Amino acid sequence: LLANQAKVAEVPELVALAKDGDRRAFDRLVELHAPAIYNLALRVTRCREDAEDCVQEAFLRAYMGLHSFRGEAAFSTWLYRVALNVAREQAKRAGRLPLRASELLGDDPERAGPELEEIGWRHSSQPDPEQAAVADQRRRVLLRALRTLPDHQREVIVLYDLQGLSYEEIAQVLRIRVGTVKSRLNRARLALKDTLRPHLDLLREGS
Amino acid sequence: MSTTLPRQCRALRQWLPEYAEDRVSGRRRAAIAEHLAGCAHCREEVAALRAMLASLHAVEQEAVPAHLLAAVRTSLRGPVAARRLPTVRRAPSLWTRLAVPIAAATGLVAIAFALRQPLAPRAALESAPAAQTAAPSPLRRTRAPVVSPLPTPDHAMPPRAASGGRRAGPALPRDQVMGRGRAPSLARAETRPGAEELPGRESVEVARGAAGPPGPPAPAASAPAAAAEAAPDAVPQAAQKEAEGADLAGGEVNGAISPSGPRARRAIPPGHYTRRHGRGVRPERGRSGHPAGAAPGRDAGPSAYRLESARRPPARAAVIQTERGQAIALRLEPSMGRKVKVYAGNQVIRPTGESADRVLLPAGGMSASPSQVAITVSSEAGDWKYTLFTPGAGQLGKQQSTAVRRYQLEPLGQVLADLSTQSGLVLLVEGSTARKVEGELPLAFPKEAVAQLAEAANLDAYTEDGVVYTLRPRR
Repeated sequence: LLANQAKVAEVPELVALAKDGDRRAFDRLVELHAPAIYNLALRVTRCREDAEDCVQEAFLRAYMGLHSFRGEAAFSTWLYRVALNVAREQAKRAGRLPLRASELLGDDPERAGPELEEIGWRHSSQPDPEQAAVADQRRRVLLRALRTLPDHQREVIVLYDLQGLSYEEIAQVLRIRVGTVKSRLNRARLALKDTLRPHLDLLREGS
Repeated sequence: MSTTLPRQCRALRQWLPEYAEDRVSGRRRAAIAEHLAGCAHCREEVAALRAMLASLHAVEQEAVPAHLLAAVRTSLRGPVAARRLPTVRRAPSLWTRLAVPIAAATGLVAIAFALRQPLAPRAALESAPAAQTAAPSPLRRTRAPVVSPLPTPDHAMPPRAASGGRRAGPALPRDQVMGRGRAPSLARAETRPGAEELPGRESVEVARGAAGPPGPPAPAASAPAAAAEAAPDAVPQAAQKEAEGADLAGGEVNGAISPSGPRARRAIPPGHYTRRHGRGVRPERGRSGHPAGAAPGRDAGPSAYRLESARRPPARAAVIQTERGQAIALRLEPSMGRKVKVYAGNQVIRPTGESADRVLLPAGGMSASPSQVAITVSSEAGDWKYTLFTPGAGQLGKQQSTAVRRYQLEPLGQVLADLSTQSGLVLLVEGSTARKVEGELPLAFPKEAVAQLAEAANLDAYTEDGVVYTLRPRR
């Protein structure tokens, strides 16, 4: 979850300090985990604003429930679970429907709305504009395809393929067995691939 | 798909994703490899999976917006976190949860409306600033435009505000304000298929719904009117008439945006909000229906407002009062505001000088009547003055909450720096994304309107989808 080992090593001590009421320690925890939590929230809520709300809410809940964290799992995993719950609530409230496969290219703003992937191109690190455009398109199609999946399938793909969690971590976050994680992930990937079938050329281009 | 496959393909299919990732080993791996050697279909599947996974893994993580980290820290030091309850924290009040979406929804409506406003002749607009700057006087009671012009930032806090006084205002019956009176119009706007045909009217209705129905003293006044409330007083009658006529006709675009017509003239008494106390004040409820149009200035019970400490600034959508007239929408970017001063009517409801990344949103506005808050953001580029309209909000039913939610704005972009352009009206957001949900509500800005507006303001307009426009200064 965290970018490097040094950060990972830092976490338990920070958690202990934060439990003792050290707010700066918790601030540091926020700093370390915010990117992962934010991106998770983005993918689950599918709305930037909701994701921001979700991040705030998640950290607030984590802060207030810190005493209940007993270190059985990694703090990151625990935080993920908190965030995922918040994001699910948020997504449910927003009531966004899954996209239909026919809407992947999204030329119809009425239906798709200017959502994350449209905005996301600015973050592209591709220097070459042409390649950046392809990468942008690829990303858009991919993320839209992701939105056609049912929630439980989307979640595993987000956690595994986008966020890089391990099977075990996902099992802890979702509170399901590792075997279930694997089978769910396989099914989700197959479904995603089927949805993306018409766009395979795009995916292969430059990848 | 898999049902039509040969049995062996079906049996192996579930392992293909892992195989594509090289996570299968041993005998299973050998079996799959053997099968693939003789099965073009499955080879193709694996290739497709590999391409997909490579693309997925190449999706970059997005950076956390700086203001978000700041907001999280703030919320952790807020009143809610301070309680640090052993159990799940008390859910924020419905008010809290809805304040931002409502504000946003209203703002969005204001945008839609403003853009559909008939555009007055430029001359009319040009004359406005002179009048405005010539009269930096305190607000007039009768013509309310609470913030037109805004009091200067250093404007002294009126005694009533300072004493944590009481507010008075033309409150509306509760059921009209936010509840039953409101939902239908929203719902109607949502579902009516032909809505696009009458953008002007539709906007009016929606906006009206968002801010409560008109009260007797100003039957035509409503949110859109309110949105235009702060219009310069110096708009010639002729222009106003023209504006009004065009409005009813669905809003033609004539070249510059007019501050609104007579409908805008709706009195909101000064002293509409008063400061009660600082952080984390719960909005006071139970201040029930004063008759619509109650005499301005009369004490109408205590008021309170709430500091939205745990959330991002409620001022995400607003009507902007520029030097030359009234502009459209913004988000008060936390990183942008160095000092935020909030005026309600002519009262400062938040002391100046604090570094503020958030804005007070008066509960009074949320619970009693359509009203507005003027916000001044001081920055190096000068003071920017905004008028934020809050909808009247009585008891919020579930229906409204979902309805309002639907129109919530995506985070808006940065406000463009210079609001005092030649045209008098700047479309001020960069990277703004007004999300349009499922196409129920014709919130897309009319293309021609945006084009002409941009032309008049000497800005370049870009859009990819006809929904989101970005305007930038011309090079």
